[in-house]
Amino acid sequence: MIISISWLADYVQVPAATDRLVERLAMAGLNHESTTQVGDDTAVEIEVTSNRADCLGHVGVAREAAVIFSRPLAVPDPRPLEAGQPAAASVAVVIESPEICPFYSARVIRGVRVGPSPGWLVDRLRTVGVGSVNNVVDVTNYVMLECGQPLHAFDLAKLVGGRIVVRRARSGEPFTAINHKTYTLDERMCVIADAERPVALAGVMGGADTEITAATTDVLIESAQFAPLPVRAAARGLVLASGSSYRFERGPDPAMVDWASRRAAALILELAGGVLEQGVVTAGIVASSPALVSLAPERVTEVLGTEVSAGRQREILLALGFQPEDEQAARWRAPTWRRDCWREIDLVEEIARIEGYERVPENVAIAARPVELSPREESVRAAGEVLVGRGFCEAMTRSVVDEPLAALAAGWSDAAPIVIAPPLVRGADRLRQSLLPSLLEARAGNVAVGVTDADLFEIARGYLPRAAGADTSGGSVEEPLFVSFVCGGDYFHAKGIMAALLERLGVAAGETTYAPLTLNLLARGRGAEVVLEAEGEPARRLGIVGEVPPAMLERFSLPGPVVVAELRLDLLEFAIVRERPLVRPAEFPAVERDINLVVDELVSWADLERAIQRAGAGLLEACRVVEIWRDSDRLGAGRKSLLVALTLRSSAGTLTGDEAATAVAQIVAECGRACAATLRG
Amino acid sequence: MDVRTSVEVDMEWGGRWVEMGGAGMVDPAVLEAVGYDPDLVTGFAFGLGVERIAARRYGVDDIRDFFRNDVRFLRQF
Repeated sequence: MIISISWLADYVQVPAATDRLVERLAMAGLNHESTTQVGDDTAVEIEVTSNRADCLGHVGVAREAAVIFSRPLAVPDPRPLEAGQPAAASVAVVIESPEICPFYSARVIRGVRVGPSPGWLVDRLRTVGVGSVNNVVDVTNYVMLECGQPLHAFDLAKLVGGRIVVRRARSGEPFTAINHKTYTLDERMCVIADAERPVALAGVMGGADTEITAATTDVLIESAQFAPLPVRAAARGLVLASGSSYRFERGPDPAMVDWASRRAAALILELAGGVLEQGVVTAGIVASSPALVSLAPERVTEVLGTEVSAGRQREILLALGFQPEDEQAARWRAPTWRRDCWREIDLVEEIARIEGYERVPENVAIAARPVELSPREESVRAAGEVLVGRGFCEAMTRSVVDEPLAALAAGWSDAAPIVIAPPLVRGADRLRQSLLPSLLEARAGNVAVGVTDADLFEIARGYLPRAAGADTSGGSVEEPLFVSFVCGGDYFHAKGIMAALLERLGVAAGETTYAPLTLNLLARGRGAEVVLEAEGEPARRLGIVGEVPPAMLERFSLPGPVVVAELRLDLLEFAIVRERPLVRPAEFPAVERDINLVVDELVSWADLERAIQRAGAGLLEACRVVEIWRDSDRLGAGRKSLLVALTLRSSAGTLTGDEAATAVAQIVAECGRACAATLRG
Repeated sequence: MDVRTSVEVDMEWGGRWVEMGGAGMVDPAVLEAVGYDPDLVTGFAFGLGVERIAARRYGVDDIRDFFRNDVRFLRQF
């Protein structure tokens, strides 16, 4: 909304320079956009929020200024002289669809001389960015910009049958607007028709057939109420927004419907001459229901945290146009132009913004206490630390992906991805079920700019539709929180990072197993799922890890090798240990022993490791594979030999050679029992 | 965020005011919707746009740089 400063002065004398005025208006809720000098006048653009339709006219803004600076507001009371025949003899008005047009009024002026507007009118319109057309059309624009009520002037002689019919448009009905473009209407829209055809798109734009021209002598002034929805449907559907549609979508002041009509008639008589016919032809009833709102003065203090005296509250509300309904001023009638004020809190807001938010002191202590990080926050922070510590950068990619990316499943769900219509982002209309495709794309983006070592991670949600018949008490979509990464390296590298993540998140090595997994995202035989085996719980997939197969590398134009991993943080929130007790390092020396175990090729290290740990409990500090060796002549076909380094230590004293030998023998025996391992001399 | 008696917080950057946050008293209807009696309880809500603050802090003039995932950019943090 652009305001002319000289025009504003018609209604209120502001005792301050323009800069001060715009600052105070901004602090009271009308944000300042720009100030521009236009000729001798100053144009101030302000941002009017959609609930403040009352400020879409100079009078409304003047009212704000009058209240802020405690100055009287002077609004003219137009009483144009009526003469000639009753207007009802010239025109009949029928509303066929009262739900989209509660009230319509028409005044008739005959014998006008259409011509250029006087300089003052041209100047004011120019200041607010509106071009001059002719004296009659300019008056309708001027009055709308004055009070916020849109008007339209018809050439009465062109209205067939002297009839105004307000009705829904018919599907496919053509209409040629003042801009001389023809539009095809539908039933959602509202038209003004004469006895034969639409002559205006209600609340949006007039028609070319009945526009005011130099030859016009008789004018019909329309001032009406139109519902927001049909106006919006027409303005958006036909891309035909106007100052009129903008205001009707937000709701002009019902009390100004007749005022605007009288004001326009008076100005037309003054600027274009003619005779105003007697009376006003109306149909329907003005829709207006100002709210009755209770307000306890102490409530204002309670909400604002600062005292505003009951007297000052009353002064502000009265100045804003609220009327007390009783002696105690416990209930207030909102003014017709403030349909956004209907609850106590709305009145509190009015008092606060006029009194000034800057008067709310900042030195009041706010009772607050620090809160502990939630397990989720702790897990997210810990996972990020582990990866940043390994040289990763955190990526932020979109939750929506296109169809080809969505098709790269990470195996978290069998259901099709959720499709969003219309798409949030052009082309990307699917909610992702894994972060990995986006991360591969992000790594590829880096390769495209010459960076081939972009190791990236992201912590974000996936969206998994629950299967039909599943428990949907937690919503129809499961939203797991993933930590996912992509980096260079082989399977063992990725598995090592995954193990570090799990350890930091509080999952002991023995609680997870890695099982081979086939996915189109993972190379065959080089990918695994991480399975959580918590006691008393069914085994559950926690994550996936593996090498990206050659076909996928080619698709993303990525130089290999590249690995990916994805872990469900949401399943691990229980695990993170907030205060880890420190373990005092043992005082006695460790004993190192190497053993060579020969096993069948199918026996996994994980199985052997478990057996070793079982048997070594108490003395075993660490065990690791040093070397794997295969020789079908010496070991037999399908056999392998693992050189395992054992670290043994006692907290009670220095281990003797015999004690160590006994422990090793127990470990070898358990490996033999559980994995059919034999000791190779 | 639906608040009443609300304020917008702007920072001046390059001769212009840029909105970086909003705050206000929680709308009673919101309190009611989540099970509080708005006659007994009030709430203060606020939010900051971290990208704009980071952009101002580091002199980043295109906010989209934060979402390009270019490690040459990310490694500077």
